[in-house]
Amino acid sequence: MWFVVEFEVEVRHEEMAGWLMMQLGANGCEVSPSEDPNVLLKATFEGLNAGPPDLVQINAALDEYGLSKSIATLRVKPLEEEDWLSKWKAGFEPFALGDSFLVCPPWAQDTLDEQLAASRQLILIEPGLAFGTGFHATTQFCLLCLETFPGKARVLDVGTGSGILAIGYALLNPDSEIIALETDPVACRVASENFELNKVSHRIKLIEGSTQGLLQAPAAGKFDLILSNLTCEDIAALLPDYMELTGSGGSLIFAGVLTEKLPQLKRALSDYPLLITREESGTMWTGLVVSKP
Amino acid sequence: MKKVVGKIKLQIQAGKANPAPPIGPALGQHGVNIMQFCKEYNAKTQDKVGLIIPVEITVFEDRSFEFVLKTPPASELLKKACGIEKGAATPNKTKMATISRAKVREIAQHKMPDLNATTLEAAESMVIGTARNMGIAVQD
Repeated sequence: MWFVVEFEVEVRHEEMAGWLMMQLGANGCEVSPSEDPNVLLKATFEGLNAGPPDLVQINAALDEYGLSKSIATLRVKPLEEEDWLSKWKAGFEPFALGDSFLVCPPWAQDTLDEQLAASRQLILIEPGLAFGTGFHATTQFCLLCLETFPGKARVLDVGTGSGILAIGYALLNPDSEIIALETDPVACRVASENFELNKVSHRIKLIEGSTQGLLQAPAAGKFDLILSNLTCEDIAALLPDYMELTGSGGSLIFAGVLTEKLPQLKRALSDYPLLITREESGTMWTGLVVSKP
Repeated sequence: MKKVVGKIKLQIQAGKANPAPPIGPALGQHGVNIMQFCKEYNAKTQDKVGLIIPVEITVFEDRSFEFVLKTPPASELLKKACGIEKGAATPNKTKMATISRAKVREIAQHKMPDLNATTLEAAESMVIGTARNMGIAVQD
């Protein structure tokens, strides 16, 4: 249950008011125009034990920071339980990717061109609260790489999100063994649902946890391919774990790297005996395939 | 040129954007791909985790978007510079920390692109105003 605490505040105090709400536990703030010289600040709080945030504390904090004028306009209301994803979902349409894939939301399956659907691996993705809808350049880079990666491999998908990459690989390679790792329980639920939807849940082992957890598990073993569509900083931090988890001759696919941060990742990679075998840079994102000799 | 259909201004934690409120409802109502925004915001702010990085998002008629990152709130920078957890309980009566004029100038310089100030002195005055509200005294 979410609550919105909203109040008017002078533009010059807008930043401090938002900061103050976040000090009091708000998840974030939205600032909208209002009557000059004010703006309307809306801070969202996750309800504690389904209860609203402590108004006495909020009033006291506003007063304490010289924002007492705002108190008169302060209102708290529950955030409507509407599906705020529904509007952009409406614009989510099926699309073909590379030579093999057709990415489609479940509700559009009946509208697919039969010939196109029959000639491709259909990935059904419910675009929910997890990363990986197939729209993003980084996800597309990974899927295109998977088309060229030999089958019958042991694959680890780190930060599986919606599960789209694990699904793509499972569909292309029926003999593969796939582990999908995810630390976010919400994303785990989404991935699990998408695995069911694509009838691959018996082929992909979904683990809620980290690479460290996996390394400590008995018989983690080595992987032929690691998929890592994370940020540059995350990938760099995980390199020691990846080195342990990748078998000799294995490959790693790195996406989610801002092109401007590529030198940073390359510096981190230079500490390890890894070889870049593919590099594709767009204006914003870069993808790398790296092999471990 | 694409037609702008909305502007969204958010204060959120660097590197931690997710589809929960306020991001989900704010972007969802404009039909923006929420997860795409979160991924891009997180990638650009990953090296600033622990700070609030405000963002201004422009939404176009085809649901595409652009965003500009802002500097962290002055309160956040002051708090960090003074090494304090929060401001004073009664800022006008209890000075709970002090900050040097040089540090104020540094913060003002950092904040200058986002402040409605034409000179560094004016920006410094704004930072000093925030410091005063927080119960932080400025030392010459």
